[in-house]
Amino acid sequence: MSEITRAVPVARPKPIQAVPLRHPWRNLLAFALIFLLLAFIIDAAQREAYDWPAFALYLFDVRVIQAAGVTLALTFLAMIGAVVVGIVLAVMRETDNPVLRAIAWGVIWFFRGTPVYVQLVFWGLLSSIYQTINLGLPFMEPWLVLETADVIPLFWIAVLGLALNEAAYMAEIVRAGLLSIDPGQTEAASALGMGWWLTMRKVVIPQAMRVIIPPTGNEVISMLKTTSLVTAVPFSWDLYTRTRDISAATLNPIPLLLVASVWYLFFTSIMMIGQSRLEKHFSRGQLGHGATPKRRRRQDRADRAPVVLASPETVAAPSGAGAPEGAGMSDVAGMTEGDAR
Amino acid sequence: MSGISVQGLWKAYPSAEDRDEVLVALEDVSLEVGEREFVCVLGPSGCGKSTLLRIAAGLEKPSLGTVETQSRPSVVFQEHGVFPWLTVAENVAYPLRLRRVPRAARRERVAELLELVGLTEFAGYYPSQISGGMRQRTSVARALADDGNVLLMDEPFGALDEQTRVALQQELLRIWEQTEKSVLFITHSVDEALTLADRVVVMSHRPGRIIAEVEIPFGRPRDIIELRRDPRYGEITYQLWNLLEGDTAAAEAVAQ
Ligand SMILES: Nc1ncnc2c1ncn2[C@@H]1O[C@H](COP(=O)(O)OP(=O)(O)OP(=O)(O)O)[C@@H](O)[C@H]1O
Ligand SMILES: [Mg+2]
Repeated sequence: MSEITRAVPVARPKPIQAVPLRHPWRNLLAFALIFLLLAFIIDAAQREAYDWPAFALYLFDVRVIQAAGVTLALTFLAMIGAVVVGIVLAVMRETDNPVLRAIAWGVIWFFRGTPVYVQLVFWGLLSSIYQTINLGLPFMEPWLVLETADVIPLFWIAVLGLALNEAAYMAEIVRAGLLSIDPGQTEAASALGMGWWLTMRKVVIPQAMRVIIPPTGNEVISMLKTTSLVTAVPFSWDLYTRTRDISAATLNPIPLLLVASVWYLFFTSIMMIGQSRLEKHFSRGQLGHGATPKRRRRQDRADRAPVVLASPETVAAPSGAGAPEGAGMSDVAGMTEGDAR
Repeated sequence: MSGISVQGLWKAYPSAEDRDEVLVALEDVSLEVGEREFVCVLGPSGCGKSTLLRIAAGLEKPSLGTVETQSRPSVVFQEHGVFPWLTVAENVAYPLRLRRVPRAARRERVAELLELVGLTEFAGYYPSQISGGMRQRTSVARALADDGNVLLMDEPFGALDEQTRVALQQELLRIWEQTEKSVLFITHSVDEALTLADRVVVMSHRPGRIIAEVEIPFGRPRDIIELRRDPRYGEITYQLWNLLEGDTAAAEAVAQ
């Protein structure tokens, strides 16, 4: 038998003396900025040009509210179209068929390479380029001839123009999502006997979503703002164009610009909140990659723990640092519906 | 009918260097895992062990030859293949959910399996929060939850320390002795192969060929630690090492 030498007891760590750092210059700068901000607000409240009574009057004007609704409709319809076309383009780019790949590449190249404003003007001119839509077989007498300008209202041309431009960006986002999935995951799924569609639904799509959702949220916010360009079509019922038209009659553009800005900010704020919720939801199980602030705070607490854990009893207790609270056995049932942490 | 039957299996991959060349990963591999038999495949890195297992799992097509398994195999992958968005407990529960096992039964079984692989405390952790060895154990627990008659394991204890490995090997043997599983277990460890297997299939360096099959004489149930005091243990170790080194003569001298 070999001998066991005695273990040396480890000395207790000394408690750390923390002295908060002082930042005199930083504090001074903060005060100066607060002062400037207050001065600006007080000045703006009194300045004639902002015309606050007119602002208050128009903020909830029926026409403005309707226009806000139109802007939202444009945003969401265009995004839906963009996602659908984007998925198709992304899948086309990943196929083995060189023709499909080249077409997808060309479409993305064109729509990413030209300004959206120019594209919208083009779509607006569609009805003068193709004055009629002929239904029938090619090179034969058409069965039905429609006037382009009659059958496609400007609203849908605006949606189409916005959607196609956005689709080029969505295609890249979706593609990144599909490529982000470790092939080991789909193999593990199929080894568990899951079929193609079940694997897609339970493994590929939810994981790809984690990569796809955050930038898509940004795209929605950006789309909301881009809708202000539909005046190029020319479509004039969206928020920006409508408020501009109203102010053209009353000759006070500034309060109406403020009205439009407030509405845009209102929508984008809601979207940003929604987006951060979604991001949290989809970053589950990704500690260290998409660590949420709450997790990071918990991580910080765990990092500080060794200073506190001076006595052996506390060291022995499982600290559970970074463990999602209450994510034990009871959670098994709710694993797909489980909410964000 | 046998658990797994591999007949005249070839697998070639296109070579990365030369378009006209192929890389032969498996060359005429045939092997049989009988019902309730435990077979270890032993071979050096890169000899095609994982390739063999992936083909047996139906994840890859053979270039030539056939593989038949008694039922859909449960697989433990070399790279563990646990789902990163599910906690340890949810990963283990997954195959049970797929089979629509009722919730209470599921919970009970998961608790049992986690206890078995020593992960009870980490039930609520995500794979990114645990160690590589713990991920492997999660993967083993999940494969056991899958509960097929055929179990394919690709170096499942590769990332574990000696002590944990021996404990899990012992558990695996216990489970296997209680159930009706046919096991194909891949390893590059001589010790592991002869500790676990009824029969060890030795593969050569690339291209992967089977160069020998060695029957392991130890009885069941086995005590992994006690096994090491058996005089035959050293003999077989020596034999397998020589086979791996390509010294068939020395290996045969032992077999006499
Ligand atoms: N998808 C693939 N494409 C090309 N070559 C491959 C592929 N998969 C495996 N190979 C090749 O086949 C050979 C065997 O690989 P395999 O993964 O089966 O080895 P292994 O025996 O499992 O090794 P290890 O013990 O290191 O895991 C290697 O030379 C590898 O480069
Ligand atoms: Mg391998």
